[in-house]
Amino acid sequence: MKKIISTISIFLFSITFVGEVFAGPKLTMLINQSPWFDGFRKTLEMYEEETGASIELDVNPYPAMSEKIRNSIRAPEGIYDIVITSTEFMSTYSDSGEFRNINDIDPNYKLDPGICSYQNTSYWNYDTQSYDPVNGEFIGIPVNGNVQVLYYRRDLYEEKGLTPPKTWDDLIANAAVFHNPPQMYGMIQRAERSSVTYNFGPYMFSHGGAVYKDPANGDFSIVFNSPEVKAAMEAYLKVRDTVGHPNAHAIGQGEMIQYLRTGKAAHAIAVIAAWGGMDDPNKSAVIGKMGAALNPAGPMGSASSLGHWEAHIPKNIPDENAVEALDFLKWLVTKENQIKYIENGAVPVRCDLIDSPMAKQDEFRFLEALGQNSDVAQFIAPNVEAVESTSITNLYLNKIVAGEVSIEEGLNAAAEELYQLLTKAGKKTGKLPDL
Amino acid sequence: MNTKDKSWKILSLIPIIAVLVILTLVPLVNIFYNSFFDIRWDDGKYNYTYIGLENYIELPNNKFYLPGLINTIKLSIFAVFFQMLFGFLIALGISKIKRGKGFFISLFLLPILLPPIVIGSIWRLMYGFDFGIFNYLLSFFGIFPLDWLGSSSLAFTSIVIVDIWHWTPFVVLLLLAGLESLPTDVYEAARVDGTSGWNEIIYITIPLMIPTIIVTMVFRFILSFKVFDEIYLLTQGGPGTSTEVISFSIYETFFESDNMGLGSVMSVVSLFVVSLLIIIVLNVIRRVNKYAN
Repeated sequence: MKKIISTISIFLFSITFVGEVFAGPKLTMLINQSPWFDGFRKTLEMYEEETGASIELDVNPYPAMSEKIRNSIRAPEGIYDIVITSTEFMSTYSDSGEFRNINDIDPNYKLDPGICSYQNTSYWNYDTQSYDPVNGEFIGIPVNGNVQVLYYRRDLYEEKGLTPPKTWDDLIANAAVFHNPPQMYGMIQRAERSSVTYNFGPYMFSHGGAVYKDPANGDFSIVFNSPEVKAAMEAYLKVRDTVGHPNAHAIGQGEMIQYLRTGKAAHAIAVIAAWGGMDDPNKSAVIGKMGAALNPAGPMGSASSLGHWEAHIPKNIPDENAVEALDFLKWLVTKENQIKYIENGAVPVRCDLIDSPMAKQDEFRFLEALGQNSDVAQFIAPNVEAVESTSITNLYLNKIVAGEVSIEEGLNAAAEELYQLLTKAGKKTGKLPDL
Repeated sequence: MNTKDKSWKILSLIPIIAVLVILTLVPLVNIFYNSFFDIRWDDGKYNYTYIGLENYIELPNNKFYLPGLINTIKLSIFAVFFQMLFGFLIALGISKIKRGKGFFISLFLLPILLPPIVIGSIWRLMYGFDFGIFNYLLSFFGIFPLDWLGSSSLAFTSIVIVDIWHWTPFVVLLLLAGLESLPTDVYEAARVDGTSGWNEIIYITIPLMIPTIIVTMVFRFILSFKVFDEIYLLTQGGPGTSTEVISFSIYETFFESDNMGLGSVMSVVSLFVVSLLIIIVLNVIRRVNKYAN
């Protein structure tokens, strides 16, 4: 009897103790349903178990994210204590003025140098409307390090004695060895209207092209119809015509991953978030067969396009919640917890994990490519009008790939519309003569 | 009618008029009002800058709206025509069935019962270039695989096919209700006179069904302007703007670009165009009817 009473007493004491220590507010976080979500959820559960904190996730499909963020941060009292923004609308919301400066919550906190910089997207300068680590406000903490990497079939490479391609020509040469449609495509490109700009990014940057001249310093002159971007598009189409899928302009992210997982693609430049399913027996026919590498280089070296997510703490939530929210984010980006994050299947945000013993394990063989591509990843549209400007570039690039307009017509038309958009927005801008 | 009755009728209408005003007129007036402003979120509040007709002037230059408007009208005409044709034939067939009618009705209703996301997934898979069942079947006849959703010339037709499949059951349901309520004595008299089945359809069924057909057609025509799910899930308006529709343009402008002024103009113009087209359609039908009589 005594034993039972003492057990109950200990149990009740534990509950009381836990309840008192972890009586913080229950937080709500807005997040999207994505290939890396399960890894995030598992890691969050570890945090909740470790600290007793409670964070409820409001999980939404990607297209619903922007509207939910907007509604919450503009309300007198926000629904979400943490919101995350993707590169597509990160700049728009960074400029909204509705996110807290992290140092207002914790004046001493700064990002660990081991965390990838992602072209300084954690710091927003409201005056120049650009990312600025010196004069910008610290308003975001990266939570997902999505960038595009080169996926290749390492089993087939081993069979044929090939090494990962260094240049676009190498890629074409290697892909040609396996190109045998419709059984297998040498390379899959994703040029559907909603995502072609993102997929074109590595080609564009590696050829020295860009959408804007010098956005980091507030010069938004349009250089999208430069000879460099034209050369990049010629390379993109050359890949498609020689070793690619003839209907690249109708392929989106879902189809691209489908081609990879069903073993019908020898290569693809895809987001690292798609890696999670490659070795999953329930989802993939290429378990253990996929490799990841640095994207092929053009005249200006290798490049990738940023597709990472930053977490923000809105102003319209109680201070107590803001402190709790920051505690979680600080916990998440530590090296120790990023290792758990990777083990759970999420995409890490630290670039210092490449040298860790973990990167040598076959299961985590993508880490090296992730680190290399993160180092060379660039932001395609780091401007406040990114949603509108990307819809312009998406439309014309899709038209070019679909063969509706020539490269020159498409790039000139896009440049003109971008110029009009930026001029109307009052930006310092200009444009090149037509191609 | 005495004064008391009249007052009671007016009073009893007030709740529904209030609901109509609050849910329909107020948003319409609001959208019309917004269309004259540049609306931006700054310093924690919406700032309205009056710009007169600037949004209206800018609209024809919008790269998505005009192609979307043309596509929507084309889609409405083609899809509604085939929905009415197939819907009438199917409804006629079902009305002749003596046993198991309920089973066939349930079967034909399936497409409108499915959630749009399921419809999108099913058709996206079927239209797939390498994995789709249509190209798989075509391969048996030695036909090269078709790019159902990727070809600028074919993508629009593919969307029309999905819309026909999706909404024909709705037409069947309304026309079947009309067919079932036709007076039987007319048919009995015709049979006594030895009228053939074909003549029965041409000279009795169709003329008697004209009011139901018109209502169904106008109803479908209005609803077809709201097409969104199929476009969003299958093509996102591409390739280029070959499958762009107005609801998708408005969605992108309002919710993605956060441009409330331009989005309002798009809504106002769309409303005007739809109303105008319905007036034209009704007028044409009225004239045809008059001529036929």
